[in-house]
Amino acid sequence: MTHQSAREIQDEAARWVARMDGAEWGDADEAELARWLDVDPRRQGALLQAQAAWATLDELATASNDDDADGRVAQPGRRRFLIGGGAAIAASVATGAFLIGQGARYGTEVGEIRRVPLADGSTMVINTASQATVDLEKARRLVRIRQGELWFQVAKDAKRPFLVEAGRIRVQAVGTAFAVRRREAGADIFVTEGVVEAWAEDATAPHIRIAAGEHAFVADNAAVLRSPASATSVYRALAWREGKIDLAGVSLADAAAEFNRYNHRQLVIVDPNIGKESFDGTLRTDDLEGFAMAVHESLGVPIDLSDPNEIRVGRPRK
Amino acid sequence: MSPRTNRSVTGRSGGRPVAIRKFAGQVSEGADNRIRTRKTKTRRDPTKKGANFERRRLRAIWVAETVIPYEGTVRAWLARARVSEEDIDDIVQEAYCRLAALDTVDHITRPGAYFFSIVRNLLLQRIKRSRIVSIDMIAEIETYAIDDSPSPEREAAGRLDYARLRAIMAGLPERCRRIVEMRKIEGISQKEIARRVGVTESVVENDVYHGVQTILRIWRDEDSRVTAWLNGTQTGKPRIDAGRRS
Repeated sequence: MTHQSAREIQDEAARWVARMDGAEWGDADEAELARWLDVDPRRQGALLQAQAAWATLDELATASNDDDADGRVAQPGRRRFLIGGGAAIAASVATGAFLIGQGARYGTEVGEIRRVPLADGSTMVINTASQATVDLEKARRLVRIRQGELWFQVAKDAKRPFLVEAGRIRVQAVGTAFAVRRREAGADIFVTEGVVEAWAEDATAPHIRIAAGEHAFVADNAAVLRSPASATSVYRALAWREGKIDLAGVSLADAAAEFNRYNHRQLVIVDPNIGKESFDGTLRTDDLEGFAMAVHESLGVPIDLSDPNEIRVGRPRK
Repeated sequence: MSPRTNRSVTGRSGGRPVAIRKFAGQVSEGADNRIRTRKTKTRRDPTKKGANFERRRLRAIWVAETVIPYEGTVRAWLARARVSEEDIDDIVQEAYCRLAALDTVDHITRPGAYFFSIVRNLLLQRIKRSRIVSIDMIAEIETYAIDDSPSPEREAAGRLDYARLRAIMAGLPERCRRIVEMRKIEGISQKEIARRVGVTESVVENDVYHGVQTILRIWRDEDSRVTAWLNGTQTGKPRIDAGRRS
């Protein structure tokens, strides 16, 4: 095989994306694609790049639909901060939110946790590295989670349901308290008060009800995974609202992933053999070093603090 | 200048109260609390196009929303490190490979920084292999971190401008533009587009292919715009001069 350049591979990948974009796609197509991918490991990357680039055009639909919505100028889409000029940016620096039309956009940086009172009397707490928009409309209150996790204490208003969108997942409540964390292929829902209704958009599966003390993961394909009901485990999962991480017997690998949500500096478990060790305890979300030290002391494994970007646990860097 | 601090772990004084202990396997009230350990097992085959198809689609959407906006910044950074355009393409493609190979991306909270660190490591590998650069330079690259904190300015710089996108679309050949718009804005299937426009489906697919190529080129060319922006506002950042590359 002659060596292909990155651009040549990309060209072929673009062909595949166009083909996948069509209606027909069966096992034979899948097998043919697999054969193409097998020839060169770089093709996997080229395909993802091309498919993702094509998916960025979906924003065109978001933006133009917003234009069409009863001729309103306000658009609760992603376009708002594209058109934000100096004034909008200045406003956002002052208030932490973009206020254009009826929608407001809120975000947090890594490690930041924000409590935001809403005009309807509800409160929301935004977890680390999260972004969402809020639209308090006449008929409903709508929060769109673009990324991350938020907890809501919803003010009762039977005439205006409180709807949270996380990708394809929808969670609706009238007056209750719950958290939604957007995931790649669905969303986690933790309920601390009352009951919420959740479903996946475009799926025929029935809506499910999640009550106080319960947690469920709803996948984009409407599959539901429920954890055993336990109010304490739901509260533990929401310890971030107080700036804490409650480890409660989670594995080292999961604990590291949890700390990494809140810190620029990342914890890297170098030795896969220790990833399954379990831990118990409560730490501040920013106490990465404290956690590493505790692992060091309890497991007797070396840690490497020399790199400002990461802490390596298990074996020093060669 | 060495930003590294070789702190001794054992010699640390004033150890903080360690509110943590190893979970010694006993059954505690937290034992049922495995809420974060679910991974991919909920993924089934939700479309008739197959599970692999769906998995690729979801990963592509995630990349579109979280990584692609940073591609220009990353390319600009590589260009400033005097990496040739061809090598930039190679490195960026390989970085996307790494993203495609991940079982899940749920653990990645800062995709921009994650993508950047993949690219940085790939560049370091290449540089070390070529043996033409000083240790200082490697150290400099190793410690350089992308600042992807979501300031509004940065968001604006990293995002595809809607008006610009429309302008680029307008530059496509008429039928191709119309077809891309029908597909992406109106959400009409390729088959239905073929019927409305009065061409075969393979013509539609071919126009979509040109649309994909165009959008790929747009993101690739973002780096010149980002470079200008970086130079205008980021004077305090360390300069990376990678020297000549063979």
